[in-house]
Amino acid sequence: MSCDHQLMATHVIALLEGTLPPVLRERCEAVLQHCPHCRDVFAQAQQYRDMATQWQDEEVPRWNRARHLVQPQRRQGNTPWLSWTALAASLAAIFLVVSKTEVSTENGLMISFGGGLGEARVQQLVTAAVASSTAAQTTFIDTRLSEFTEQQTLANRLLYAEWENSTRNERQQELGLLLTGWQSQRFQDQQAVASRLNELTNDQLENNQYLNALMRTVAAPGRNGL
Amino acid sequence: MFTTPSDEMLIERALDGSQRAWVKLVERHERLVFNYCLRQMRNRSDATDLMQDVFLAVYRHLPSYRGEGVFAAWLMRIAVNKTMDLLRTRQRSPQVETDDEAETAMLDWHAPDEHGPAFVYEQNSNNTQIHALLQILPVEQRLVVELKFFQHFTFEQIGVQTGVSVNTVKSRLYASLQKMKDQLEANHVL
Repeated sequence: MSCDHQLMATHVIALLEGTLPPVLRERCEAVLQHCPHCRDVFAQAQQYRDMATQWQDEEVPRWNRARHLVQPQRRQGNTPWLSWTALAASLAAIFLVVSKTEVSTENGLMISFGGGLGEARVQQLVTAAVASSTAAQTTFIDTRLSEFTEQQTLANRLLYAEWENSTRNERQQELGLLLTGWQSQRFQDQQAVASRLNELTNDQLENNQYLNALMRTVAAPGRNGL
Repeated sequence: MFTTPSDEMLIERALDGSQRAWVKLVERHERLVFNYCLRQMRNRSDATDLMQDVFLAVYRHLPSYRGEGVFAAWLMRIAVNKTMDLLRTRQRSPQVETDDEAETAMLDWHAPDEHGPAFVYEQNSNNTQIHALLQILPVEQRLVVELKFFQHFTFEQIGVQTGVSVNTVKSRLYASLQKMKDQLEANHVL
């Protein structure tokens, strides 16, 4: 009895755990009786099961279980706002405001502490900056709009050309198919007409022969003196 | 009366920042994970490292634990993933190990224990043999044997844990049985 080991390959664990239906279990047990390979495999599965029961859990070595937890925030002092750095920054800011210091760069950036600029001057600067920004934005938008329009026009043309080409090809194919069908039908019709004519001709010939034979038959008694 | 808090309760507290709850949760499951790591790795030191990696990953992914299923199964899924990642990395870049280092690793595997010498000897004897047998198998097959026989998962659960189909799980298990059988036959011949 040959064995391809497939049955045990599929059901060896279920057989070991006793969860196989009776019919399958009987088949597996029959295989075990006849196939040494399957018998060894099943024995190995039993060894795995025994191995698991023989394993004795070992104690976990000491380790820092909270080592990887997020570290708590550093403990802050009683008066954290009174650090020397903050105090120095505050004093510097107060000095700048009191002395009405102005700082300006070549790029037009101007920082004024303590109201060094008048209201009108500020308004003028803001208006100029807004006007400049508006002009720059308008130019930018116009340029982009123009570019976009050109791109879109080109894309539309290409799309239309592609569509036209595609449509033309489809029409040509359809017309070709139609013409082929029409020619085919015409050829079949011609064949049918020719065949019918041939049949009619044959019929006529037969009729003529029959009439000739009949006339000969009718004429024969007269010649015999009737 | 005092009742033992469930895993879910401990997780909730740990997510709220309770270090004590996290430590309690770890203590509850570390024995399972450590012994799993012992069977998967070559020595005790690697097993300890892997266990710590597993719990670090668990801690990082704890907010994504939705409470569906058993926490231990979720934990083992992470453990399996970490094991596969680690062992595959080592396969890609195998470390050269001298005979002395290998011997040291095996000796290191015999752990000191607070129990008596007889207990330690018997425990180490069984566990060492089991460990040596499991080390014969490739990683994927060893994981399937572990999950089926030591963790008692179903084939479907093992498929989910390892990310392969049930048929693949069965094939790997059967291949491991054949490999072990061949190995024992070879030992018998020698």
